[in-house]
Amino acid sequence: MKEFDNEQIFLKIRKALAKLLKISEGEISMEASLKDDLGIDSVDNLDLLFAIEDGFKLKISEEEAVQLRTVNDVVELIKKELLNG
Amino acid sequence: MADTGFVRRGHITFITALRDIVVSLLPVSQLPAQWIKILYGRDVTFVFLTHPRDEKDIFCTFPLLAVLHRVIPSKWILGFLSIFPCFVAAKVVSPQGLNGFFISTPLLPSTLFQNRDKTLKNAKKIVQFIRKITTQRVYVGLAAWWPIVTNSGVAFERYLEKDDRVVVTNGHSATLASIVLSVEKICQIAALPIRDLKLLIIGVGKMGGAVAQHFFGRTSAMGLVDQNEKRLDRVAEDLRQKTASTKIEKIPVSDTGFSGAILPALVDYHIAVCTTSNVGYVIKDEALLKNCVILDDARPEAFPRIVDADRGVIVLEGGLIKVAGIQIDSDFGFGNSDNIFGCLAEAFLMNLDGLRTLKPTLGEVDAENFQKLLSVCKQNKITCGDFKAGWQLVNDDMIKKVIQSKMQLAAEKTNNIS
Repeated sequence: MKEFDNEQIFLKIRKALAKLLKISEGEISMEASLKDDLGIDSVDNLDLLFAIEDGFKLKISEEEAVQLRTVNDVVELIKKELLNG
Repeated sequence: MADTGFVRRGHITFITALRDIVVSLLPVSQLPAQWIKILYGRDVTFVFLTHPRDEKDIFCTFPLLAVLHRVIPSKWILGFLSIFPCFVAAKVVSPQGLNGFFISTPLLPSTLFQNRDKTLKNAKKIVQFIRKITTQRVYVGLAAWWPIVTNSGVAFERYLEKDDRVVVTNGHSATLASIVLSVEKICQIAALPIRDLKLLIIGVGKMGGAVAQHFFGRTSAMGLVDQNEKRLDRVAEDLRQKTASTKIEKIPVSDTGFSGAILPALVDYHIAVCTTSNVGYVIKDEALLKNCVILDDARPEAFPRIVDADRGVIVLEGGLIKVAGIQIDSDFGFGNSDNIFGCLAEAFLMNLDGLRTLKPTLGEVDAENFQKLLSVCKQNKITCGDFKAGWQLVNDDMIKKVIQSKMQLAAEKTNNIS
């Protein structure tokens, strides 16, 4: 399994978010709130989950998905899932 | 006047449902051609994948369940149905001799949207089912909420192989074509040059954004409506990057304050195109509407279907494509001949084209593919759909009268101000 650190995961997620939201990568910080700062709604959220799953080849459960509030939460979740294999 | 709650009449019987259940359970990847012929009567080459909008749709399409519903709670019926992947709900025959099916999942929009695992399992089983009942290349068009819950159809790629004979398209290119052609035709009917058009776009998600991109720079003004202010800002900013004289107005709305914000804009703008999938955007009280022309492509429908000359209100079925001679043995609320939804028409157009020119739309609309789709439509004499408010055909004179009355109102308003 390829190992990622937080920075690598963040860079990959930032790229995916920028593409999804059509904004520049510079507008996305680790602390950014998905809803309040990036304006991600329920439809975008579904697309984000697909991007994560396809980008990192992992599976995100419904329960985990609803807990995501910030970009950092996304990064931590991906890291956890990758470590769990 | 047409009622928004139109009745969908389908043909799922006990026998056809049992057939589909047995076929979905069979441990084979494809049925022998003779079996397909015996069981389904045809080897189809295009499929329209749809879903019920609500419980009422299920009971209308599957009359036996309506009978059972008298003694069994709908929760039990829906729970039982959801075990099975899909049912053949209607047949389509084109004058070119192409055969298709409407295939419907039993899952309701709420389940499709909220239960991602169930939706994806369902999508996988539907692909398997389509493979079983077909032998040739088959084009699958995603209707209503299917693109929304599958990342604009991209999620289906998980269940398709390289060069798979099942080709999935989200239908957004043909839906966009339908909206563009309809808006242009309305302008032509009303003798309103596109450059003078004030266009309101309700919902600036993927489809609304594509409509805005297409018309920006061609119209005089564009109103953008969305409840997501960040998205509204992004779409407006993106448009402003282009050098064009189209005036942009951002109209943020909320679920509770939708009517208050939207009603004045419906009067101010010549044509409103509604592409939202937000069910909170529904205006049920038709008495609120006046002096507006709405092309409602929202599913579920956001506006009641109305043609009222006195109040100057026309609410048209949005997203229709006219394929002369096409016949569906089911009525989806606007008759069953000649008109099909754009998202579904795309699968049909791809079937006609045979992947020579067109490629499936997965994700966003590709501008080049969109132009090619318009060419394929033109070659095959396929146009924007008839203007219909439910089953009622809306004639050109009515459209001309309402738009011109709106233009007159606007001129009077300007005169009063000056």
